[in-house]
Amino acid sequence: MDTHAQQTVAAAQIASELHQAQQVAKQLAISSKNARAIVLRAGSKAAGLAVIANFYDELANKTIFLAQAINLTALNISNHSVIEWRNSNALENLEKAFLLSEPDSHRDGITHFIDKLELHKRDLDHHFNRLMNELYNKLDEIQQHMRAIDVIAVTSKLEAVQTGDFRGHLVEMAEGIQMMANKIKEHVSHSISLLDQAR
Amino acid sequence: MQTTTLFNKGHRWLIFGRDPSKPERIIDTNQYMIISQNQSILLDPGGVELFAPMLAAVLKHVPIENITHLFASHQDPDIISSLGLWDQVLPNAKLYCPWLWEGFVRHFGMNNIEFMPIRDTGDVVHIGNIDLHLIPAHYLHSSGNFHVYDPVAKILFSGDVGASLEPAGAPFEVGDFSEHIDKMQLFHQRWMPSNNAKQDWIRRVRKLDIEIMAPQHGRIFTGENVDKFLDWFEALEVGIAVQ
Repeated sequence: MDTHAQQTVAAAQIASELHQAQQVAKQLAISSKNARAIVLRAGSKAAGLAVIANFYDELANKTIFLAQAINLTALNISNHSVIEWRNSNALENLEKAFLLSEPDSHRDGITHFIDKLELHKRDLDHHFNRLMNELYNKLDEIQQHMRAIDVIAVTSKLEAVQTGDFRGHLVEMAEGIQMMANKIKEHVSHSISLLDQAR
Repeated sequence: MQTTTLFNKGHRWLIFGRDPSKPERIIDTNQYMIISQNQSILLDPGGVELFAPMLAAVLKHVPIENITHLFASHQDPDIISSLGLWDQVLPNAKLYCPWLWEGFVRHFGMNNIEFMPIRDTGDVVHIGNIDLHLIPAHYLHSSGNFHVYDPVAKILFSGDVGASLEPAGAPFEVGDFSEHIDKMQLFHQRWMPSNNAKQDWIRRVRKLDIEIMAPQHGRIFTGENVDKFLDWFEALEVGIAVQ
């Protein structure tokens, strides 16, 4: 497959991966609200968990927001790849026409457009790299959030020991949150590998 | 891409076709260019696969800035899917096309070229010092369709009417009309949907003084073969896919 075609497809696949990650992040946000409710019911025994539950909520919301932003960037990359694809197709055809045309024809008229398209190609490449870096950074940021959630989940399991009757619920919830964070990490890792392949 | 001059008295008509580099499984097409003074028009400039050889061929005759107009008889890809590429090199050109297809042909990519909608009743386009008449040919085969008549050269560009399907390397001109029928009969019966539209077109075209009828596929008709074609077409039942 042509590089532009690969990039267009990869960007669309990333948008789809992040859409799924966003759905998981929404579940994560609901779970964090549930955690907060249990912590309230557990009262003073679970005071340490209250901060943790708020933290979950905050990270889940940030992840939802980031996933939306990544979707937009991926869509921009996809559109941009199509423009680049068209531009390089035109350039290829003009170079072919130049080679096919006879030296005593009016072929000099083509070179002006070849130069123009090459210049445009450089601008597009520059802009494309900028968008790709933006995408990498955002994906990396989500990965960091997920790593943080992972660490907090371990801490909250330890804290849950002190909550007596609520321990079972809280441990189960922390494991659920950990599982969701892992799912999001998988989607993001897959997105990064798609991006690497298309570059 | 082979080029033949059809007319050269004050202004020129050229036909381009029989491209040896054409991919095997795409239909062969004829492209036409009319040059008058420092303006020229490409009639049905062709599909995206033909763009490079077409551009190389036209530049033998005119500098690129003199390609000022494009004409698309209808919306099909073999007619105008190269539009997105012409759009890159003819930023000031005008595309004459049936109004019906504007929203459709823009899918081929058109950011620079100006769209000039042709109203259903037809129009006249001025190129250099000549007038070209855009003759309605709706439903032959497309629902918004035009042909181009040049009253000075007495040439009718007839789009898909008169088209024939034959192997690459066929001659540009019909010789024996009766031998040519087999090559075009099914095309007209299957691609043309309406007997009423066909009769309406024949009535209109019989009033024109035509020396050459030039279709977008196959061979051109000259002299008495033009009338023979009109007689044959008049008697032909079309729209055969619906029994």
